[in-house]
Amino acid sequence: MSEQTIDLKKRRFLTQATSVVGVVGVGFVAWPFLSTWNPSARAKAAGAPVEVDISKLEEGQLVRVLWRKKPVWIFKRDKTTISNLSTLNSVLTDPSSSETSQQPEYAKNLYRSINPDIAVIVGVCTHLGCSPTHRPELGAADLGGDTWKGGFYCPCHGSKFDLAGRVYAGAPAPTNLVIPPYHFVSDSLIQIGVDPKA
Amino acid sequence: MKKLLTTTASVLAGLTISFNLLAGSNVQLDRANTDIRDQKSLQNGAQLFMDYCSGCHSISFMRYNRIAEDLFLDDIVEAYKQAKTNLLTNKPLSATDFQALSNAVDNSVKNIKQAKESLGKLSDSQIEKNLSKATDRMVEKNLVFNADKVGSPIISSMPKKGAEAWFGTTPPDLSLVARSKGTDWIYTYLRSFYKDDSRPFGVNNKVLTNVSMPDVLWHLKESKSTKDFNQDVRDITNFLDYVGEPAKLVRVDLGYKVLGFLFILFILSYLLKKEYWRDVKYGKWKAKD
Amino acid sequence: MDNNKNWIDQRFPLTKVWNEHLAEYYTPRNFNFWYFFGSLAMLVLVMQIVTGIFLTMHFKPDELKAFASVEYIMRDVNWGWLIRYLHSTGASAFFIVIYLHMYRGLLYGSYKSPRELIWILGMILYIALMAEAFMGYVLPWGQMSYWGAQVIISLFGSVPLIGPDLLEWILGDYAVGDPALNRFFSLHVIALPLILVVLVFLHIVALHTVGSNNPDGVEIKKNKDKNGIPKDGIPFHPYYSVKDIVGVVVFLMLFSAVVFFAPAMNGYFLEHANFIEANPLKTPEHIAPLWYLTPFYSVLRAIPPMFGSQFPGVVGMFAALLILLALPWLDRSKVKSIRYRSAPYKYALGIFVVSFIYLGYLGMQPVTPTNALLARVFTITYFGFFILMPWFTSIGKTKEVPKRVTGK
Repeated sequence: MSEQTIDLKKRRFLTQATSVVGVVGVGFVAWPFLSTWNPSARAKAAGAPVEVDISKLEEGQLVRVLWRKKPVWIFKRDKTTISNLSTLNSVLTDPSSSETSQQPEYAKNLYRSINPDIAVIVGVCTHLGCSPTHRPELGAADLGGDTWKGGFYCPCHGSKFDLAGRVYAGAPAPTNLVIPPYHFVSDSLIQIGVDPKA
Repeated sequence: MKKLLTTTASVLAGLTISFNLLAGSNVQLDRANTDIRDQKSLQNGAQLFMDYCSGCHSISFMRYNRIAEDLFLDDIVEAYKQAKTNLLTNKPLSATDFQALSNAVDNSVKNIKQAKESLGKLSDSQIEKNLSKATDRMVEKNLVFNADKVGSPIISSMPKKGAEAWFGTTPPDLSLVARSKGTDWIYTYLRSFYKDDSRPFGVNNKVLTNVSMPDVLWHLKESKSTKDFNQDVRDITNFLDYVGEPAKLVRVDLGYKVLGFLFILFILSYLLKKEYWRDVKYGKWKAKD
Repeated sequence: MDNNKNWIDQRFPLTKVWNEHLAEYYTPRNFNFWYFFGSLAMLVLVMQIVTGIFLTMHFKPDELKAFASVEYIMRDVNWGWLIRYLHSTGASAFFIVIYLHMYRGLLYGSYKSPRELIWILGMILYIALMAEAFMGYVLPWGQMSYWGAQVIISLFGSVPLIGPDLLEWILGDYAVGDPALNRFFSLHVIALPLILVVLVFLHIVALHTVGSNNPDGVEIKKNKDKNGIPKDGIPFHPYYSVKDIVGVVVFLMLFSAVVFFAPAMNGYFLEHANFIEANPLKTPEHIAPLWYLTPFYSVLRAIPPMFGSQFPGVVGMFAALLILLALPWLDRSKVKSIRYRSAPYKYALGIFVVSFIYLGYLGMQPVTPTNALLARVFTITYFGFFILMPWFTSIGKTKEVPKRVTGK
């Protein structure tokens, strides 16, 4: 036989077929390796829902718990604070919580909470992940004086949030603070990480 | 060359035989014949382990919810899917269907109307969430005997000091017993207790002489036929085999798929090689002169 | 495309390297089965490095956490079990491939002039690989890890005069413990892999300088056509690259069969006792190193203590390894390939292979009087092969080597 018997078409087909199947194989192999970076069963177990007893929580008081390695603030708002929330619309970026990814459906209200007085907020700044400081005092001079109705101030880049976790316009943080899924197991017990029963 | 091969073969044969002899202890071990694909056996074994063993022995590398997912989820999902199809096609629902639906949608579904309503309310992701909740409940009902969270490892509630006072030693963790001792050993050991009044608990064991463990399964042994008792011990062994290596449940099946894929790749690469080597056999790289 | 290629070629010899080492690297046309194992060894090396990188992300080199962290990988890490089995099976596969690769060298005289340096670099690679495997086996911190390490490292304590101090220095403690585990981890994940990669590179550079040997032991470079291309050579790429792909796929099939159906290989690849956490108070009934180290372990045990010291055994063990380095100069035969060798060489090679395998087998067995005697006999035949080599390679009638490769 001579060189003319070489079927270039067949050769090209086989090269391509082998390459395609080989690349698919490499993809299959890559998958388990990349998956090892997902949270392990231990991380998931550690990120299980946490329960917080709020029976001793006083008005204006704030407690911090860790849920999924993130600080979560639980605090009780007094009547003035609650009524102040509706006066801030003009200075906020997203006063009506229209960004749906920032809170569950049941917290998409003026207070961004299930009960108006109890706030549950993930204390991680939506700008670059610092944890803002609690600044509840009304009219704090360094935070805008009379216009400051209490809230949170991020020391890293100066983002300001009100006491419902809504971001002030002009702050580097683009969105409101995240409200985690949570529900009331009883009047005095909150479980963070689980939605309320339908 | 042929002689060399025969020698090598006989050496290798000798190697395998002597290893098997070495693996056994002085007592002839019975074959456990466990089947890790037998889910009923695993479920029964898990239940028996929790009832009879977990009081003293931890399986600290194992999480409750892992067992739940591995051993129960399939059944529930299957029942739930069946119930859902029946409901949508207006077929009658059985009591177990209602149970599955009720587990999944998290309220007590008692009639078709209720079932339709509760299903209609849910999105697919909610159904999925409810399903996993339903499984968690199954675990709590079937397996958890203290207030542990479902994601936590299975640790016996026995205090270490108490154990040493009662048994003279801490009961070993059994997470890997099937891997270090083998299933035949567990199966034989659990069935080899005999009466011996010189021992603190009045029993001794043929496989592990002067063991500190009492014959915890005696009640089971008394109340059942030998065949049923052996099956129970086999189920516990099977469960411990699973506990030793949970990945075993998926490993073998995945192995067949991988081999199948590689076989396709083999055929293609072999044809490719043959095609290119035509150059060497007949073409431009044919041997010259 | 061509522009890009030119741009790179002006700055980096891409086309030149491609041609010199693949597309215009001429390889004998008559490679057989035994010539798959070089590329397979490369494959396994890469596999070990990649799986090792991912295991390192989850492993904790701490005597209190190491054992549990391996089980964490096996259970809690997504797909961790697969990556661990790939790595543990890969270790054994590495040695299977390397032993076959070395045996190929013995069959076809690939260590003979002008390939002495390839052989020596390969032998250093082999020794480095053994150190790498040994330290890797310590990391899971099971009973075999711990006691195996204890036994092997205590060998250094038998060195005259400095032994006890040397031992403490290696361990950083008075027995195997956290410092040893931590330093072995460091050596296993970075120092030795770096050395291995550099040595592999040098091994290949040396190979590509002189070119491959082949089953006929004929130098293809002695017969070139008018273009300077060896008449019995074919370009490595595409001919041997497509052939090696077939070899790789077949290897992966066998390898996967072990990984998925028998990852512990009945105690040969993952020993049963290593599923019990290291316990300094309780030695397992029977300690044996993993199978790939056992021939040398057997030699160690076969040599009796002399002058109240275990040192001669240790010397014997290392001598059994190092004597392989002298092979190119011990072999006086004029022919390379087993096909044309004299009868005495064939018998000697047969005895050597049986000795090596049997020493490996005995190294896994408990010491009994019969076993001890057999180990001594095979230790003598093992060393005899090398010591008598200058003699038996110069006697007997060799067959005539053809001028060109036979294509068989």
